[in-house]
Amino acid sequence: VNAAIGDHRPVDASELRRLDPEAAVDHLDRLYRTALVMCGSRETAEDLVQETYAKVLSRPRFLRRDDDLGYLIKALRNTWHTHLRARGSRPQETELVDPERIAASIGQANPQLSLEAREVLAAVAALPEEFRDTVAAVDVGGLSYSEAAKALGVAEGTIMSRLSRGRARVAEALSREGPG
Amino acid sequence: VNDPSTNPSEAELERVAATIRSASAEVRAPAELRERVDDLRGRPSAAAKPRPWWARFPAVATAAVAVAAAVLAIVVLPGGGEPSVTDAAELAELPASEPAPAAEPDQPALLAASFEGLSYPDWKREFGWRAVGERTDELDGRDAHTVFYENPDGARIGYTIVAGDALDEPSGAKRSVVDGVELAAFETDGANGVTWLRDGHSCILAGEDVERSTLLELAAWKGDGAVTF
Repeated sequence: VNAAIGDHRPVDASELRRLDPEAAVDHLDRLYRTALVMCGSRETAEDLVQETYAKVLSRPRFLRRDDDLGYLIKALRNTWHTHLRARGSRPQETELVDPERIAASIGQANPQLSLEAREVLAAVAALPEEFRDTVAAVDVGGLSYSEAAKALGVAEGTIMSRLSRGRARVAEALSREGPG
Repeated sequence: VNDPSTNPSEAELERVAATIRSASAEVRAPAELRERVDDLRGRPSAAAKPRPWWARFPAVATAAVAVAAAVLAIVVLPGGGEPSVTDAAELAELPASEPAPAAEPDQPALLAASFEGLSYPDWKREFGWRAVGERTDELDGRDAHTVFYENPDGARIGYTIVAGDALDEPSGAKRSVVDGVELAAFETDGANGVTWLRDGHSCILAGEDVERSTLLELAAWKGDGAVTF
């Protein structure tokens, strides 16, 4: 083993901070909302969130560039992609791309949710993957552009562009649904 | 192509964003999910739950644990615990405890860092990955030394060499041969990893924000013969 060089402080330990498990659990609602529109299914969203927390809380986590919520959303998305790979499907090949079915599933999860809110979230869930994940991270999860860029592994400009186009598609879908 | 993004104004898009945010705010995680996550955290949940059987019958529980431990020791762990490749891959997420190793003055393909007689590569000139620190750990009784590297985009990877005999490949790992080097790629906890052998020792390269193909290329790099396998 290389000899430790006596007086030097660890180089990047100061850049890392430990994820606070207590604070991570406080993001449960945001993570669940994000999961709901990411997969479009109540049962799958619950499984994804539970699995994500099980992984994240299983041992100490050190964050460098991510904030807590960004890290959790990145872990959630990784879990979702692993889940899809295990099923042999891609995100757009999920069984629930029909907005009406998604709205029904979201409504089951949250019976108190207004009809309009169900339609809005279903419209987000029915977006193509790249737009959906971006709108989910920013408008549903509440990440900033830079946090979303880190969580999704793309440039901030890409986030802004996808966000704009994703929102436009949601607007179009809602206008097709009728006024409101 | 009919791209609706060209139609709405900025103000309209902002209204849509506000509508999405407002709809999202109405969604709450179900109580059962909250309870399950609280259990994972070890935080007491709001709903009182019955005590588990082992808490109500501690003597029976103690005996059961002893029996289970004995069975495990006999059946599962005949030679003691072995570290796994995925255990070693998780070291890549830990902070460095020592400064970055310097470049080897006489050999630009290597760092002045070695473990078990194996020198770590210097990928800065060829690939832009610079060494940023190192650390030594013990995994189930085996020393493991990790050098951390970063690329200009801020992605971070850890290169771990584990002392002793080769470790078993993770189940489901995908084997490939790059530049004559046999490698096994795997995924753990959202991170990509690659394992291979150098002089009979397991080497593991892993990172969260790095493509598998990048890890394979780095792992198989020979530095004009300076990096030995």
